[in-house]
Amino acid sequence: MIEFKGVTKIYEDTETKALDNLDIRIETGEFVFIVGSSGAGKSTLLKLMMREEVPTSGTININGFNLNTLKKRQIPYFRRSLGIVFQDFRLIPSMNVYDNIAYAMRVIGSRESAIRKRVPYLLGLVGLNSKARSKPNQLSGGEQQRVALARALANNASMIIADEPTGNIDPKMSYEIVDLLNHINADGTTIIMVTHDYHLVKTFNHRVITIKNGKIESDYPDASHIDVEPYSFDGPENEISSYFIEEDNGNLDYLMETYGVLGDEALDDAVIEIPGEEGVAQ
Amino acid sequence: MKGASLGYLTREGFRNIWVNRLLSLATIVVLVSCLIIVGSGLLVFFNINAVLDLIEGQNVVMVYVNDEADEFLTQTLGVQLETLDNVSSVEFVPREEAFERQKAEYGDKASLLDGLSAEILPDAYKVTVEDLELFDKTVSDIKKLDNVLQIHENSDLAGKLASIRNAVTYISIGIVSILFFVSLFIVSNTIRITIYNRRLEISIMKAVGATNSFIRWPFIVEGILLGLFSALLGLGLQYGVYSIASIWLGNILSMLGGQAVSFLDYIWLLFGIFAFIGVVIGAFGSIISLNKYLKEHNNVVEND
Repeated sequence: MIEFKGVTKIYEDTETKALDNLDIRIETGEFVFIVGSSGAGKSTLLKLMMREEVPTSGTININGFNLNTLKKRQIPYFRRSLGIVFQDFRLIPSMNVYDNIAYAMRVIGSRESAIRKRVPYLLGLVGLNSKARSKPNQLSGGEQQRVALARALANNASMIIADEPTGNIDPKMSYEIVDLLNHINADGTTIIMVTHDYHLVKTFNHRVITIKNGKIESDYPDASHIDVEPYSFDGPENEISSYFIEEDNGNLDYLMETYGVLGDEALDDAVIEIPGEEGVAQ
Repeated sequence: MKGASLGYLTREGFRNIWVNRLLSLATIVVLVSCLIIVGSGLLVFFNINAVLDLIEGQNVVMVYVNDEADEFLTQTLGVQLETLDNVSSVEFVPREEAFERQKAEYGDKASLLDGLSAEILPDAYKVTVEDLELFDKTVSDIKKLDNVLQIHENSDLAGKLASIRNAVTYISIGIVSILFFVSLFIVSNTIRITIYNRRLEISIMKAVGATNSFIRWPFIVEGILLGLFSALLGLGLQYGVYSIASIWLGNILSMLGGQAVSFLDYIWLLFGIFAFIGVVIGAFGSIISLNKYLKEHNNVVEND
């Protein structure tokens, strides 16, 4: 659960008021899009959520941690309850895909035996089993972002904070990434996603918070108010074909069992519906 | 920190050296250069010390025995001299031997001593003093003994040698200390570049919840390993440099009756000093740079 109460953030060095008396409450298990133009305050909002910054006034509570009183040495432990996904993927270039994901577990002192079980599962989840030994520079943008997502999930984070995760990838790959987040959310993981892509917001139709000039301009439970077309990929050559579904249904099976995304029957014809015309597959 | 983490982080330290091999090489070059400067200073110090030892060894007190002392009393004096503090050796020089030596020293003019016998000279003890700083006290102790006719000593030279040794020691400690801190400064800055180069890795570590000690450990391991590599490489290069320098040094020292010390006599001592300096500078260089970086970047996970 995320709770911002009367949060104001003023950067002392530039005297910029980035956020102004913000009140937000996001319940556990919600999927929330945060939208707004550049300079609206989205980045500051995320920085406060990650405890990179502290508010000038107001209180922030996330996952049972009071971020106002959180001591420096407690910050790493708080961050372990989050999974953070960045626009630029932030993978370690010298490590292969497996080690990039394992890294998050090693940081918290997980045993190698646990890592050997968990990482292949996560690779299957994001459809990259065959790329385990590849280096990040051998992957496409979408694949890199899926690795980053797998890393964010490595430690069973109860909340994923995604800072424009589709900013560097094409619309089809973007759809796949958000679709994956959607599946993860179905298991109860809270997803906070900052984006500029209104088509995606419209496509996945979740709660939308719009920030403008450091204030909440609007907060809608769905994207019905957004006047753009959802993504539509017509024709077989344009059909969205999620790697994680095509590549290994066995792993998808595991995903479904673990996250409870779909029942067994749905699994039999596990083809992602193109949203917009027939609704969003959830 | 958990055992599994410690093992992993230590392996990471090794891996990082290879992954960042260019900067590792830069650190090693800087560290080896500093170690060779320190090592050269130490070897000069060892050589000066060896010369001082040589001169000190020649600095003896001649204790002449009273003519009235019989053989028993003369021997008693010898035993008393041996039991004195700060006396490293006592050698009896009978008057006959002294007379012959005197004749030998006269050479062609030995005939001047014709008609004289050894009886004109007293028996003597050649006493070698251990610590020149206590020279005056030792001479005073000798004077208090019975049957001492006269003492021939050179307290001026002893005092000067003691002063020179002290000065050389203090100057050497000073130079090595300055070089140590200069090395620490240079290495910590080199490591700082390494850290800056790996800021992405550090920001990811922070994002996934790494504690500062987790972030520090691979850098410390890396610093220690670079220090050890540098110590070994520095020792090898120092051997080469000294082999060339010792020829020139030997020529200078031979004028003082000495010779350049053997590198192999000091190899373990030098390795110990190099390893200590290398490891301490490597580890502290890492800690200083990383602490500064972590302080500057505080809790930032999204720095560019």
